[in-house]
Amino acid sequence: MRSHRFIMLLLAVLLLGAVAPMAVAQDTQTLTVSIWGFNLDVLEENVFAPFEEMHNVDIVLDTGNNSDRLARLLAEGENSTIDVVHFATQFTYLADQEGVLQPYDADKLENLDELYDWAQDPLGNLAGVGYTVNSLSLIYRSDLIEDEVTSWADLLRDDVAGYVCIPEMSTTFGPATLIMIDRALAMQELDEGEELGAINYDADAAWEALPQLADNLVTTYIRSSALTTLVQEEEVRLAPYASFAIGNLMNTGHDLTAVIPDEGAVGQTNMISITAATDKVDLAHAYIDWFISHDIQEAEALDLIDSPVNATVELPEDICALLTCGEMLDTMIVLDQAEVSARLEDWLERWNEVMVR
Amino acid sequence: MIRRPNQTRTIILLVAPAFVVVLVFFVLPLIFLLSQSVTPKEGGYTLTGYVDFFQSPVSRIVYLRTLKLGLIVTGICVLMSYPAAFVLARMPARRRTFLMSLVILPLMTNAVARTFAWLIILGRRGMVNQTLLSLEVVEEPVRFIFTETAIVLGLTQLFLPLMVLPLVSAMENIPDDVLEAARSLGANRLTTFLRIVVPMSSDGLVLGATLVFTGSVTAFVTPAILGGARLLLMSTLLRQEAVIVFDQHAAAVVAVVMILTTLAVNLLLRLLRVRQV
Amino acid sequence: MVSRWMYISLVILYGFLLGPFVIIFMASFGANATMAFPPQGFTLDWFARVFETSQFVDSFWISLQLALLSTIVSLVMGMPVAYALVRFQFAASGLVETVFSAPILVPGLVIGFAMLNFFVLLGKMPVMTGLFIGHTAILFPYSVRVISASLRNLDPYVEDAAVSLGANRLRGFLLVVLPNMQAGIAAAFVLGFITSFNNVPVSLFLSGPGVTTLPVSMLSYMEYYFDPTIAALSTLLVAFTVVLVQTAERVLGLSQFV
Repeated sequence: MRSHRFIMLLLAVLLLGAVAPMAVAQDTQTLTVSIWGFNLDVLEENVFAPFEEMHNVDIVLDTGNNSDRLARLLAEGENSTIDVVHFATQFTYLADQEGVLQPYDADKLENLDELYDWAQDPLGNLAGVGYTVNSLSLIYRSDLIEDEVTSWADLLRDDVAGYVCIPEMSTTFGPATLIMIDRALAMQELDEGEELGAINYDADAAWEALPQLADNLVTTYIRSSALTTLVQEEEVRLAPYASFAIGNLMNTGHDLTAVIPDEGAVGQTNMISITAATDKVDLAHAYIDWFISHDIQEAEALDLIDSPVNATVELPEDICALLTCGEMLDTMIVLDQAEVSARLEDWLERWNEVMVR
Repeated sequence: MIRRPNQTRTIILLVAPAFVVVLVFFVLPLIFLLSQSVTPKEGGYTLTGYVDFFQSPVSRIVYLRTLKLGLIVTGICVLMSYPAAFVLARMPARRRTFLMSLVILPLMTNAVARTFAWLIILGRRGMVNQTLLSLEVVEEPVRFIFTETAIVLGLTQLFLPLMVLPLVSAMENIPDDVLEAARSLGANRLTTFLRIVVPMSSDGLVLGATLVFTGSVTAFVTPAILGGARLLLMSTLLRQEAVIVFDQHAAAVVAVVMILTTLAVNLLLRLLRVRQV
Repeated sequence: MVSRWMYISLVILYGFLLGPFVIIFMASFGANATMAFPPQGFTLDWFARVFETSQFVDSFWISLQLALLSTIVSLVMGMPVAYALVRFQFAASGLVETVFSAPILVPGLVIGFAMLNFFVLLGKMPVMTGLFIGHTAILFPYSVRVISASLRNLDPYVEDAAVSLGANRLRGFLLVVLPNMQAGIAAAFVLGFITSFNNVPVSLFLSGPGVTTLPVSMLSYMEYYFDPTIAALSTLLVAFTVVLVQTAERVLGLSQFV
């Protein structure tokens, strides 16, 4: 009997230990937002803090890159605590295919009409709203690389060997980088006066050149912040970069030149979607509406964070030049996500086989 | 020993609570992991995951690279620790206590902090490169980060204490008389060391090697920081399969291979220890 | 027997073990925002930055809570196991010993991954609870082993004497055994606390929205920023550890348990 009491004591302590952490959870309303961990301090000031005040809600962040967060969302499925999720188009597409998103209700978004047409429903099935656009082009150390960089194929040049960094295949711009290199190689084959045809989604020429490119690499990057660090520490001199990273790259204090290569820049829309698991549908819509409103879009643009998709936002020319806006919106290349996604699984495997060596 | 009629009941009551917790929250997840590794997305039970693992050039290269680096790290740790451990074991107790607490220090600091230092040391503008440049050994800074060398250095620093500690405690038990006897019989220092000290401390060596090797082949932080997205080891491959490629089946296979590898090494070296006794 | 080159090897060993800490220490006071070596100038800004970064402050408290809670629970539950293993001989003792030392044999990353998948299977579970369970499980081997060791050093007849003098088993344990094990318990506590507080691989998979441990948030901070803030934070953690470990070593002789 005595030892019984001892055991009871033990169990009581155990129970207490197990329950205590749960008691810590607060009961004010929360909105869990899944987003990249990039520029969070600015987002907090521009977007989150005022929204929290307006709706008397706590925003909880789940940060990580696209695939990282998508993986978690898929793993948790209906048990997910995520309410709204920011993804690049390609990942919104994948998430939607797996059924973890719910369509938005256009009637609940007052600001939707102010957006460019292509941003209102980028996937054409109400899976999410485009809230910013960005583009992939090249940046290089103009003080250390003598010959001007003008083409995606310059990533293969011998004089930059050991100083190149490209996005990992699993990221938004991984497939895009390869497709653009392929386009550049095709352009070199052209005769005088010949026009470049449609995009070759198989990118055979680029795959053939990949081992050579791999030899030029310092490493691959998964996050733009990693690229910024590598540029700052002088490990990297030439890299494809996403336009939203330009502010951070320029802050490294090095002589960097951003170029739109001859073959063009790749445009890409980032989207906000509502998860199928959430029961805070109205709050989620309010969040999206807030993010696409004129004031937020302008504030984000002026801080060089997100290029606006709200057509009512007018930007000074010097700001516009650093973002994806103005004329660039008409000239940039937009890839067909269905074409890219159909090849992705196979590409990841081929990619790893080259990169692991 | 105390004997009581209801001893069995007492033992069960003492052990059961913790045992159930470990069973439910540790053993069960591992069994689930094992079942995940043999049930691919398409359904059914099959060992194809393991066949794929050893056939795919990617995972095969990663696995062999992991084992290779583990061996190199273990070797370096042995070479660095042996003579030093001997000095430590022969020291007056007070000084030894102080020096041993310095050995534990790295073990007690988190791996992120420890690995971070190597980025500063090995970077293109880091200490090593600045020294090489100023000595004009090289013209351009050399790339160390994201190389196997960087990972080996990081892991060695991480696990060196796990070799030093068991070696010192094994060598403490070698009586001074034995060493003096060997010397007086005409053996020189090296012979004494190789013929007496090494065999008599082999227990510590085997234990240390087990700890260092298994530590190296399963460490995550160091390869994640110093290897980057491209130079993968088993642990970073597991993470990649699980959260980036999102192939839980393949990730489970990698995880099980990691467990089996550590278990095999532990068993092998334990057998070695038993045989020596 | 101890020759000069052996002393040299000792110096190399300590240089290698402690050199990186010196580098971190220097970097945390450098005025430059980059990690170029040697650091230029002197500033305490990076230390201020550590306390201004909510990511670090929040996760520090989480790590502290988690480490205390899981260490205490693993000790309270591990102690009876150690007691049973040392004081009684029973058929299943080998199995019990194996099960309780298993968490140390399985790679931490694998434990985290397996637990995450398993918890998802169980349904919605608060992140903190998952972390707590994971950390408690990995601490069992330490608490059972260290407490067993200190129990073995204790003469069982002292306890028997107390019992034969009329104390019941629980009283005998509380009044005679427990006070004599203070050092062992304290050592197990320090060891468990540090193990949990520094753990990355298990926490990595089990962390979730808003709930991250300090080492994991250091790792993710490094993915976004590369400045001496991490060095400053590391310096603070090393200082904290030095105080803790030196005290524990002096009072308890920690190195015999590691």
